[in-house]
Amino acid sequence: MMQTPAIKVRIAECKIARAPALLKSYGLGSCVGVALYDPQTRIGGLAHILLPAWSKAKKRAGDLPRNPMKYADLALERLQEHLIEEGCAQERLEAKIAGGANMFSSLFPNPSQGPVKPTIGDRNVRAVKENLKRLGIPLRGEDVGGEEGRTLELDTSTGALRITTSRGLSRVL
Amino acid sequence: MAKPKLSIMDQLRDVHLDALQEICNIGMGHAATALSQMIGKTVNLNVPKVTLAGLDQVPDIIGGAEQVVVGIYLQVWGDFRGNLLLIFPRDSAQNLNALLTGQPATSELILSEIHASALKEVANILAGAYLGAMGNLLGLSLLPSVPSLAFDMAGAIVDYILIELGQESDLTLVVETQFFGMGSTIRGHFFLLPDPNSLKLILEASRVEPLIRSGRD
Repeated sequence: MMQTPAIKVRIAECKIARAPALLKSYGLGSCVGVALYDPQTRIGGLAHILLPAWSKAKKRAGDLPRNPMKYADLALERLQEHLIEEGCAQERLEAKIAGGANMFSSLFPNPSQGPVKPTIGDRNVRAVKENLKRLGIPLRGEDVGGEEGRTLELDTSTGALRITTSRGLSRVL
Repeated sequence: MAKPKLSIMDQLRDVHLDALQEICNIGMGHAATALSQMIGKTVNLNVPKVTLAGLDQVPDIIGGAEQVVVGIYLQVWGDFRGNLLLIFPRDSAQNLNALLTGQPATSELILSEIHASALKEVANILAGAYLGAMGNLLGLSLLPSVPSLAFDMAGAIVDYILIELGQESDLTLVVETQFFGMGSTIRGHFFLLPDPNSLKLILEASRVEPLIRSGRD
């Protein structure tokens, strides 16, 4: 079988590809990876998101960051736009997400010991889900939270999102 | 049209990077001496490497996003804010642990409580000596936080720090010092990633050319 080369999606990057292609993001901790896929055109996109949202005040004033792909709200809007430009239908797009771990559990104490601030991983996951909802993209699968890093691989031939961890575990959404 | 705002990262020049390198070199010298006393072996150092990098380049600088390493993270508190990260390749962490605790590693993929605690202690000693020496030199009070440890992919370990830094900037300064002992069976990388807002303070305290006052990124 021919090996499909993987396209690397780095931190705060967003890339799209048409089947057959693999989009791959390595070593996500608190970051969240979002895969959007259109099963009919078999075009997919992967975003490697660092932060929940760009400042609302600045957004209203039309002041945009140098790299919008860092932020869940802006990155998902742009990823959706690019996929539609490439020929995907808005109503066919579906999402799978993974990441949002808490790598240093000692920085965020156990919730059973009283109320604690949500971890940055939790905040990223929540922001991603809220924005998917806002953009009308259904969430088809998720593997989020925990205390382990993840490597993600979106197969644009099938829409499968494969997740591997440093302990060698592998699961497919 | 509004003038584009200059962030501190846009204004950094070689003279600033050189000053930072020298300060960190002195700090790391003290840290290596402290580690050497702790393990009873000679510890050698490389000259610190100062890199101004995009956030997305940092996982490669610390050894590759998917490389499984032991990472110990400390925040810098006091007059100056920043992040310290001590990275050991898996085999070096095991060799260092065998030396410190006399107990061989039980598994390739899990660190026992005693091993994790010994490595955090190493980070404490390195960070205390490093920040103490830098603080003395600059007349600033610099304190390390309690260390946190993760045994995982380097990218996953460092992205917490990148998220903190990413709120202010798309770029970061990375000061890397490599140290090694017992031939090269123990190798470690010590990283300082200063908070962009604190960078000005550290450079002013080192009395190199002043930076222009400007808006934040």
